[in-house]
Amino acid sequence: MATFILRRALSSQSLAFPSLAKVTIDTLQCNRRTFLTSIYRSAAAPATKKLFNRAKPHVNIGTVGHVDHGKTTLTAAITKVLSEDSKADFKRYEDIDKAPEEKARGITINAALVEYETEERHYGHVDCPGHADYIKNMITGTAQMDGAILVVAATDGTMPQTREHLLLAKQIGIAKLVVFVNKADAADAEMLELVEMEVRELLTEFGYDGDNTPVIIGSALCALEDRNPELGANKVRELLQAVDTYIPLPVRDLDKPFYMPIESIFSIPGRGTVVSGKLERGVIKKGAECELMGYNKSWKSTITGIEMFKKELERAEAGDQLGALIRNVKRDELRRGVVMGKPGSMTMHNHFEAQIYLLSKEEGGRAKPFTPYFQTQMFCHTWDQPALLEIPDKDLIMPGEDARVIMNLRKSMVIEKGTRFTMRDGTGTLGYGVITTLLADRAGEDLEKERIAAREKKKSKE
Amino acid sequence: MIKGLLCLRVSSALYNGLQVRGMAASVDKAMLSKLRKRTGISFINCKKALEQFENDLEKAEKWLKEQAQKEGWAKATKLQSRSMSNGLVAVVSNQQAATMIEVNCETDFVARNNKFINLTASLAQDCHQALLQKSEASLELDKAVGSLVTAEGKSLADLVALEVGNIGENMLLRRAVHLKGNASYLAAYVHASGPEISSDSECRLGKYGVILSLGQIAAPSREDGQTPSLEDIGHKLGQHIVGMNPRLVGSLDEKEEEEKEDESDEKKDESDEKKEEEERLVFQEFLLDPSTYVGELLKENGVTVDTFYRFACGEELPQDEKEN
Repeated sequence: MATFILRRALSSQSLAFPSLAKVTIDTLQCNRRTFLTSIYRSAAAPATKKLFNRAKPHVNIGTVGHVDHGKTTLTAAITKVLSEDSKADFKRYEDIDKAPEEKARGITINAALVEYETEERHYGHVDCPGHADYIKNMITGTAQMDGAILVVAATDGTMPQTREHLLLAKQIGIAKLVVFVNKADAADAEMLELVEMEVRELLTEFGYDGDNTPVIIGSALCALEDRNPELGANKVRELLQAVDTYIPLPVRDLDKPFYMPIESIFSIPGRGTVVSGKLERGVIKKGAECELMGYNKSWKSTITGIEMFKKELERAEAGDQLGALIRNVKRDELRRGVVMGKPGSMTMHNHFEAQIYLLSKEEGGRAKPFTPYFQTQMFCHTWDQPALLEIPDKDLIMPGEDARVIMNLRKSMVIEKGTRFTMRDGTGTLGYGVITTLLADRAGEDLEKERIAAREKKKSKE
Repeated sequence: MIKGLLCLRVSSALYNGLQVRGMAASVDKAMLSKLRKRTGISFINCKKALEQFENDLEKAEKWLKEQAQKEGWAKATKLQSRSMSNGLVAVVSNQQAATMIEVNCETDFVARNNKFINLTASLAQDCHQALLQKSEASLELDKAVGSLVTAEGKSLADLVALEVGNIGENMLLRRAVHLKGNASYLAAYVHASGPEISSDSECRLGKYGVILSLGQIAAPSREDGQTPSLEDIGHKLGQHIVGMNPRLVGSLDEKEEEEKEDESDEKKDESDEKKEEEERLVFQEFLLDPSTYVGELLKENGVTVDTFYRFACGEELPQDEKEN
């Protein structure tokens, strides 16, 4: 609502007094900034308040849209407009648009193209060249989008493939989008209105909030060529404001329950057992209750001491490499791969669904495809386990392809939705994966029976 | 008749009048929206059409449809230098003949779109029908396949251009192969990268396609006495060819000669690498059962592979390099 009023005020002002526009915008932006920061503060947990001042929160954002609708021009325009406030380095169109050549040469697309910051946030900006390309980057963890800008040219309206763009956004879990209707300088008011309507309809059809999604109408080219600021630079600023306010911040690792995969275990005479590893997320304090889980077993304990660089500390944060002294658990009971976490925040599974990407031969993978009931070694955090792969949707997974698979482990491990892993065999890395759905545990014997039954069936068909 | 003439005259008069008045004619928003919904053509062209026919929806629509082909070609010409590495392979096959085509586009968003899927499926059908008329038992065609003509008298390249105008990406009917069954059994296999692509016709679509012809030369000599159908063998060989990418069929006699030549000392060390690089189908390890070779499988079942074609969508072809 506030955005709306501000935007209204902004556009009417700038239309009426073009010469005053710059000043007005600046003051308005100023007001808005304080307004936003205040929301921000009230929303943040008191204990972590300090961190917001230390660094701006980081958000990954991507542009999606038809090849000719001006995604690259818009990206260039954003950096140009922000470089005027020295919040970005200006990247020319040609600098950004080197991806196609790389693609033609078969090089993996350089995913993180541009970075810039606004008053509130720091952004990593990626272009999304294709469905499979993006999924691959997401699985391997090289690119991520927390939100997206859908670019639609006013002259064309939405394209048939805009549906596929939205489908991808939905599939990868983007909850909110901002729309930029580009090339407004080449269209008239009626057309603009219709394009906006059409986009909103389509958003609603795909389960987005079509009525409240910000739709900014402007021209990236005008912004880039320094003309017609009402459609150019001002609109780009407006777009960034919409992105700042409408696209939610991802939950930061610090705010999550603590989680530490164990790398090694020591026994210190007179003190007890120390487990070491990198705290992946959350915060631990001396005296905290903890749970240890892995290989079908679990233990309850208390963290009686935390050490880093041979010094004791009261509190450790995500990213710290530490040793934790734990009570009542013997060294021989634990092994590498067990996870120490907040009690009740973890579960163990041996059966789950994952999205995997199989490296192509050129990327260092193997030339042969995966066939059903393929066995591979799964490496995840600090543990590795043999895993049996079922392929529900197709006969084969070709190298260079992504696919949905069902994975089975011999022993239950701490598994979560969104955890990444690597698949290897004796010779090298075969591919990467990310866990998508947890399934009910399955006994090893049942799996073996199923596998044999499938093989028999195959034999009898021959 | 007279009435029709009159109409024509009136409309041409209107048209002239419009030319004089130029952009002054305002376009009705509701009409614009309606026309866009009906045709799916870009807003700017819908607007042009309405201006030209003074908001006469019927005429504007008719004009747009006539223009679409021209626009498509104009766009296709404009975009032709842009690289295409995505698209679909489509196979139409029955016992009489099999046809496989590849259609390219720029992004896989388009390759997943229904319009593109339908275009590829109908191109495959039209291509199949056109090639059935030819007498050759097998045909390999490059871009020239676009000059084939459908039953309605349009060239296949025309159909592609029409969709280029609509979707706005560079597209190309890149190549086609055609096999006639004659005495042999025809099998086909298609592998889709994503979820299975459904089309209403008997055409199958995906990222990889294989068509092959099999001959039954002897009775199966299997120990277990079970005789799999040719259909089953064809399906499995199709999977194998997609997965292992052999270049040639090869013949079992070659192997014996080879074995005589290299005395078997160093055989063990090299065998793994050799297995990976083996390009002759009959000497490859069978994908679905690595304990046997394809050649053995064929022998066991008394089957021969006469020819096969494998398309991987977007793969580099030797003739492309020559062009560059």
